[in-house]
Amino acid sequence: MSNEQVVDVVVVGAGICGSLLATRLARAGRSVLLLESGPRKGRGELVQNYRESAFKSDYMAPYPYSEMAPHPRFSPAPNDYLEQAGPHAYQAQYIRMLGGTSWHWAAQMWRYVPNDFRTHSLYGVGVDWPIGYDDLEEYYYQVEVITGVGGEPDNGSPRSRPFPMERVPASYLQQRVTERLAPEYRVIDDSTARNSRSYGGRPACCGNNNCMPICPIDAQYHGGLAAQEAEAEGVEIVTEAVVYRLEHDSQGRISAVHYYDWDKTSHKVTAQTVVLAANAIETPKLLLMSTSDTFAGGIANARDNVGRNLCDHPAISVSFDVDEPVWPGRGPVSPCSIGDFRDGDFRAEYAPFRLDISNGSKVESVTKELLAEGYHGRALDEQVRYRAARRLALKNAMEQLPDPDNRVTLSDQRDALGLPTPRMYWNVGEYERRGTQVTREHYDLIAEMLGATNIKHSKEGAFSNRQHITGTLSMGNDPDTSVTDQWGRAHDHENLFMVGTGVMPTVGTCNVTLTAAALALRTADRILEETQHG
Amino acid sequence: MVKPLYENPWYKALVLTLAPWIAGAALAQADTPSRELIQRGEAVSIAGDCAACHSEPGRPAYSGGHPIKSPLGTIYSTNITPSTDAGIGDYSLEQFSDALRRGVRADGRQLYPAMPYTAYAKMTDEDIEALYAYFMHGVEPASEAPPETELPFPFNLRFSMKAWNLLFLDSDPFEPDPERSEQWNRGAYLVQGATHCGTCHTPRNALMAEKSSQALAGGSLGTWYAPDITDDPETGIGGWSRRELVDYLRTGHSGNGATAAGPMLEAIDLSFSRMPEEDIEAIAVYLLPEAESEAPAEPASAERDAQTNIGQLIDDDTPAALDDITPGERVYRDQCAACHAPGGQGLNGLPALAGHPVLDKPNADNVAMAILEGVWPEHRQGMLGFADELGDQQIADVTNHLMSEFGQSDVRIDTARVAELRAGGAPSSLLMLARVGMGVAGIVVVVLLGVWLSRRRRRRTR
Amino acid sequence: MATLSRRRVIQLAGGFALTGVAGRWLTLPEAWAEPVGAPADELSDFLEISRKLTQRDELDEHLAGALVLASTLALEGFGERLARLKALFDQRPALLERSPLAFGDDFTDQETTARQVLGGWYTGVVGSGEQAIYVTYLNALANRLVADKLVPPSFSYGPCGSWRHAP
Repeated sequence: MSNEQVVDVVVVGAGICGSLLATRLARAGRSVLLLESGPRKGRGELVQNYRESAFKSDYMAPYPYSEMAPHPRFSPAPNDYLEQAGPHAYQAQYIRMLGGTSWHWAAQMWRYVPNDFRTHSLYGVGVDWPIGYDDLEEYYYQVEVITGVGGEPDNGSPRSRPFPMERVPASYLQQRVTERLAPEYRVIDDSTARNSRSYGGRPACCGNNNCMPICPIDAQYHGGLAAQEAEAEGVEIVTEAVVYRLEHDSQGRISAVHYYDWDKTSHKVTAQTVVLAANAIETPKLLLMSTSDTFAGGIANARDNVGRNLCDHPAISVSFDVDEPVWPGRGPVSPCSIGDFRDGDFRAEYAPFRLDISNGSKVESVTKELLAEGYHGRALDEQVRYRAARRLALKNAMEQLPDPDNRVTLSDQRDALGLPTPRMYWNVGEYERRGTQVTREHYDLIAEMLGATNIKHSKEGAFSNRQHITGTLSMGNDPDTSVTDQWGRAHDHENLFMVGTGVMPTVGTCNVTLTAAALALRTADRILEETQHG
Repeated sequence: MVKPLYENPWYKALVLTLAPWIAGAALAQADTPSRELIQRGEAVSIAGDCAACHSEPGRPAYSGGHPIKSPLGTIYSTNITPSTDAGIGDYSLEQFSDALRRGVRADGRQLYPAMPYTAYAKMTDEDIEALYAYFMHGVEPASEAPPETELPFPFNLRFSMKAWNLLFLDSDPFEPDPERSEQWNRGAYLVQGATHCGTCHTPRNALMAEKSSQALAGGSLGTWYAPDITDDPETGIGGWSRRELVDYLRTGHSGNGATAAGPMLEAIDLSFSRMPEEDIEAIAVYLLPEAESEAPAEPASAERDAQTNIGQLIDDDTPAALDDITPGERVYRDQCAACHAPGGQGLNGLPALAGHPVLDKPNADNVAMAILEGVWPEHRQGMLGFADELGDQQIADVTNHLMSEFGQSDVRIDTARVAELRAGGAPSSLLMLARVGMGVAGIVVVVLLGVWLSRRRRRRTR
Repeated sequence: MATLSRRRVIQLAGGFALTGVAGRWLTLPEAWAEPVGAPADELSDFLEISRKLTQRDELDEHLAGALVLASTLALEGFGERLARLKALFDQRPALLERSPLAFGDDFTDQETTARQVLGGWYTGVVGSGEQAIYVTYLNALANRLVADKLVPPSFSYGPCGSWRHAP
């Protein structure tokens, strides 16, 4: 292959957002090159890796890892790819591989609630988006159709059309928990891109209970399918292509993209339009790396906003044994949640949240717990069955306010290609701590209503993140406080667009993929409109 | 002087306005067949599986446009709604009958035998009349015209079909066998006629006509293989009970482990599963005249299946064992075992592959086709296709693993055949045969064509 | 035990370590590369101890062999530690009547070994971190114990919705 290539559009990152955008552009006749830093792997290999893994509870473990395109790794030992510089470790999980991180997810495809877009105006906290719910509604629906989303319609997010997919039947666990928590709590079906019937050439869910780390039958949508579709539409995909520099011209337009293949041979791509879709940590990293005399702080970073305002869902969890056997592990792993606390005037005071109820098999975790407690013999057998039948786990998805101090910068460490690795600073503020306190009270009440014993809260004062990495490329109307405009375009670079969760200025109370994908299609339409005569 | 009433302009206007209504109402009264007849026609259309070819997703029902990939090229089904522009709204009963039973359109042109008129020729006048009533009055007219069918020479010359019909069309309607029971005769009538089983299951000769001497003995559709459904216990379905066959035709699943896929599954979804149970039982009596009427097994039921079979996942999956497995078993474990279990016993209502009837066929085409395309019942659980995930070698490997390990069969498939199946089947040798066998005129044309081609080639090389 | 030579496992482990997939099989220090099969008496000790710890008479001997081999590779001095545990059980069988396991301060090493033996059987994994070795998934006792109610994740429960009913 030649070391120089010319295309209409180059897209950096073949995850769900980059691939959906690339597909739309190619379908409209644009020549599109999609660069992916990681390798191409098939589903079967991931299934094999999972089953033959010594680390089944580590969802990253089955995924291919290379020093050439490293990502956070936890097994067999942490690789500390993300340097931690803040009070709380930000242990992001993401996958550098064709298809990206939505290879391992529970296919949660939630719309924001309308007020999520206006928290500053309504509640005096956070920031307002440059667009509103109505601007996205059509795009939400388009992504729901592409990916086959079903769920509870009355979930706070108005719809102009019904879900394209019927709901996956509720597991026995979900039915029991729903009944016993009503009417104090309303347990609803999650919105998920999971088939309950044949759809899009994929079968209905067979309850493999392995949505994370890998669905073995493609019953749920994922970025690998999006990349496959892009390729079928004529997008040229190059894997193992690590973009390391964006080059600009005198007008500030991005004139070229440079990437290394895994032999560290450099390649150059010129394009009319450049789209960065390399996730909310790797995209800021690339921008910050691309320094020049004109843009000493990196591309799109003239006002030092790139990588700041990192938001996620700082989560606490609880687990306990319900007083009746409900047998988690039958059906999808994350089928239902409580959405009663997503919006309201209280948002002025403390963080809103959703409560996710796990239906994942607890056999492995209770077994390890019992072994650690020293059980053996018949008592061990009895307890494995007892706890595996009753163990319920909840986790919250709580909105974190944007804080410029929470950010991605460049570490002094270098990867095998000599590129800097990310450094994270993550703190959790008082607003979220108050929300955490309220969450905790609900956990206790729910546990009581379910006759719980063996109640275990996650460590006091500690927060896990939910891989809902947002804010680092925030869109906004004011270039002084945002990186991109409402189309995901860099304020200072006319032909540079960004898609993915990073452009979302707030994290809301739900999983972020649907909103990011809807924004990506909106950006694609904008690019098509602007380059119609180009 | 008082003008006669008919001279009154108001009266005239009234009559002119109402006339079409009155006439229409009168016509409607005279022409609309009884509800019963239309309903009976609908039942005949289901048995005949008209929708399989004449309805296409995204288009109005029966407006055609369904691409039928034949070895000769793609044939598009026609619009058979009562639309007078695009459909058959102008057809008289006789013209309708000629199209169905003789393969002749109202304009006199020949139909391709992708339309199973050689089977429909067996249908009774009563059934044809009912079917006509249904298509004229029970189906919404749709004015969408389907794409034109364009076949290569000489098949683009529809009159070539005339010669074919002379040779191969038996246009005598079904004659009941008085020696046999009414049920058997009903089954025979359906199998030979409306349900046109022989269209796929009877092997065809070099000119694509069914070999009547080998009725229902199995044949390839180019990709999917329509197996022998005679009652031969070795090669056919003689080992099936009638109950098993009835379950299979009604649900696509049978107590003997059979699961339908491909075109047969489509026929079950659109046709057999919607036919009256008596008709399915009659078919079973005809196809299995000697069989036990009932199998001990209860009818196939997903609900029943769902209560059994947990705990089938017993297998040696230690590192040493996994290191020893063949490439085919590797693919099986990673792609198939999730639903069919490592030992092929199936899981909790998901089908077993060990001993599956598809594995005892004279070729492995259907196994490879199911792996390539998946299995897509209209209502029940579907199976993913692996055309995108697996290469030809992997598909051949896993197919052969299934044939040998779960089918105890010596039949194998090679990668070349998998590639051929992936591409939609082998190109037809019929094309060349027909071009040669068209008679003197054809030969002359072929010779001329050959001369012209070779001249052109020579000119290019100069 | 011919197929389970230590060298073979090491070859496998090394091969998979190269694929860059975490934890499929272990990356092993080269120092362990001497060819040793699981000795017959070690296997018999392991089975005897395992029967006592699991309170099961029927244990899969083939799996036991795989566990011994993996333990020998993953756990330093496993053979000697197994012998010490066996000696302790022979001397003080009453220790096994206590639940949870508590051998006391004098026998922490033996208690660790006992927990490791149980861990292998119940989880199908021996060792931890860099020394973790996958041995089995489907036959891990924890998965077998619930096999009337659950299938191990990544295997199908049944057709869509079959999980509606109480198990």
